[in-house]
Amino acid sequence: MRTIIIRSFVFLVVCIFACGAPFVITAGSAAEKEPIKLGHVYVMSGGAAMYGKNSAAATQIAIDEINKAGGVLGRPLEVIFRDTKMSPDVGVREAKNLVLNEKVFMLTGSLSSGVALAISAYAKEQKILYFNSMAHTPKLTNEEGHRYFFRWSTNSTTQHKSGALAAAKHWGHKKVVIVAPDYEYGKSFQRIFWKFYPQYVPGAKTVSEIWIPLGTKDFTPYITKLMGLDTELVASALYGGMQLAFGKQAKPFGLYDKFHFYGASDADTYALYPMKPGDPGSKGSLSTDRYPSWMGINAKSDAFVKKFREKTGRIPEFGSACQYISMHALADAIEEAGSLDTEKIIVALEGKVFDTLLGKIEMRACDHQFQTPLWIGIMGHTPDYQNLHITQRDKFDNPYVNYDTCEEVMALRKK
Amino acid sequence: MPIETLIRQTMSGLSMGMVIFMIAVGLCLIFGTVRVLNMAHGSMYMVGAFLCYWFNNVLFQHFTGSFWVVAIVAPLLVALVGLAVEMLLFRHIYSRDMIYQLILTFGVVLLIGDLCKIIWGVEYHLVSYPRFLDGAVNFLGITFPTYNIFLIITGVLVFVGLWVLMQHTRVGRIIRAITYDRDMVNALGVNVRRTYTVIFVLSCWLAGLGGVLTAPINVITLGIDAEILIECFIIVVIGGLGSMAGAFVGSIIFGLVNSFGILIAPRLAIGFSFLLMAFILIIRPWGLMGKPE
Repeated sequence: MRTIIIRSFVFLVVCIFACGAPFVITAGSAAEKEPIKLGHVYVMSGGAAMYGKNSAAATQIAIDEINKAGGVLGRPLEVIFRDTKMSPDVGVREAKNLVLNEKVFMLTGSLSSGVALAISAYAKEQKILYFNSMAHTPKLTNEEGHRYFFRWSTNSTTQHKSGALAAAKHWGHKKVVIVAPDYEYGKSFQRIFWKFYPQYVPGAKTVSEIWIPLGTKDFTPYITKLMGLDTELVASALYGGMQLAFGKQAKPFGLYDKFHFYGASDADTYALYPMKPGDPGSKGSLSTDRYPSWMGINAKSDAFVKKFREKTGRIPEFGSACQYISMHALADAIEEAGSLDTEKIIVALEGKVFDTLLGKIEMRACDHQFQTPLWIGIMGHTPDYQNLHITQRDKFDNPYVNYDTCEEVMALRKK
Repeated sequence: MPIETLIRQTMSGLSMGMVIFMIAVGLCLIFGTVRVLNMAHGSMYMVGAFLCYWFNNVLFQHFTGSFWVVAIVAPLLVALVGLAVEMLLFRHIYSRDMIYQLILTFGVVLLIGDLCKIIWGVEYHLVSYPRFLDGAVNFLGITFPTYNIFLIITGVLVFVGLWVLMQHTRVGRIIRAITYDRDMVNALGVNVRRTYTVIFVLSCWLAGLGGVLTAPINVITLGIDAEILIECFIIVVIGGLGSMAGAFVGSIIFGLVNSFGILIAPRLAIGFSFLLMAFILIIRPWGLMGKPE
């Protein structure tokens, strides 16, 4: 009798499980749609940590929006964040770990051109997508460009060619001093700016080149040297913290009153945000702002700035804006490709015009350079915005998107 | 060379020299007397700079004259941090190998760096020039910022103050005696342990003072601790371990080499400080005013 009861009980339990199991199994898999993993490699420590953190925040904002709208191909996106420490060795090591161990689908990130070139070479070898929204060396899309790499920000060519044209149109000075940080970015500034400026201002001469070592904090000797030079225009490639310190130290000398100043990366809003109205700085200088978020470019930009400020308490810089755009573009491209086939996604991206927070912009097919605009104008104060910023913008945007042409790019690749 | 250029570069060299002197002199003191390789010296400087930003721009932004209050209060706070670090950590490693000091102080660097990141974030911070020192003065045909002249004067005052302390006070005499012969001082009944604490706290106070006073001409952000440390060590080595006068003279030479060097051989700018250090170590291995050991 007991045996029958026990056996019946066991039979009953098994039946219940057998009936319930299908529900459990499907419910489980529906809840655990395997996420598509992305690897974000950026500098997250040290003096440049702000850029990495900003990019991470922008990426997360984009990912959250995409996931809220149902994800990509029904699957959520997930980002793994790693610190490159601004070192190519560390960057490639992290990239390898992300690809081989974490099995990420694609890589994104890197402020430093050196790190970006190293990771790009790795991505090419692995045939894996690599997006960059900040590194400026033209090499990434020119000589070292390849099928799997996409750049979403401006590059040095357009930045400095546009600057040369703007400085020529605005003042047309013949005597020029170049001030640049003594590394690849500074050197490419001098190379590109001086390639085009004498074309626009015939007879222009470099009176002096002032190369400032990276990590210089006390610019006083350089400023006094500048004050003694016979020049009309000072063309400077100092940016971020360097530009802030230089501007602070130079203002009491009257440097900005004595000469006309062109700053290649001067006006980037995020860097000037710490200044208070009336703080010394490069007022009256011609400067480039790669993401004038305060301008109210369009509704998408305002929405992004608002979310970014809520998340971080900071103003987003152009790297973050381009990173945000690139993540949405990736999601759209995957949906259009209908699968995670990298080749199909590349086809979906090439030549596509995206409607973004910077406007309607094309991802150029020949070299995967997003045709991002930039804004140039004279720095000043206006009542509506607290910081020094570019005013008198003078239509310095669309005609000034001076990227290398496809023919020029292909010629460079052939060499 | 036109006379204005000579004057300009001399002034900027002096300014640069006095700026680095004010920050490095604390390290000179601690390294020279107690022989502790204090990597955290740059961190104390950074905390001083951050405190200057915090008080001026955040806590007391509506008080004019807040800068001068900060200049007094912030170095004292940094000295307190130094006291805590010394009592809890450093005093246990004085007698140990230098490698232990290196590792411990490096750990403190990372700790303080991350605490600064948590409290003040990763972005850039700026401090305005104090009102009466804003602007420039014209003399001998050149324009030179008032604040830089203030820094030159302050650097000299710091040196004079320390010299008086070392030569004419009991504490100073004890510190100098410890440099020569620590065991004898101990045998004479002086509390060497407590003097070490005093030296350490004083060195942190100096670092904090350097951080506060140089804040208006700098950008305050993460990473400034590491950047300043190398220059500090160079000054200490050039000047001679433990010699305050050596650090003072060495800083002036450092500033002038940089300011005239960029006129004569600008592409070597990245190497000026190291070339100077190498040159001095070759002709005088114990530094400008150090004692041969």
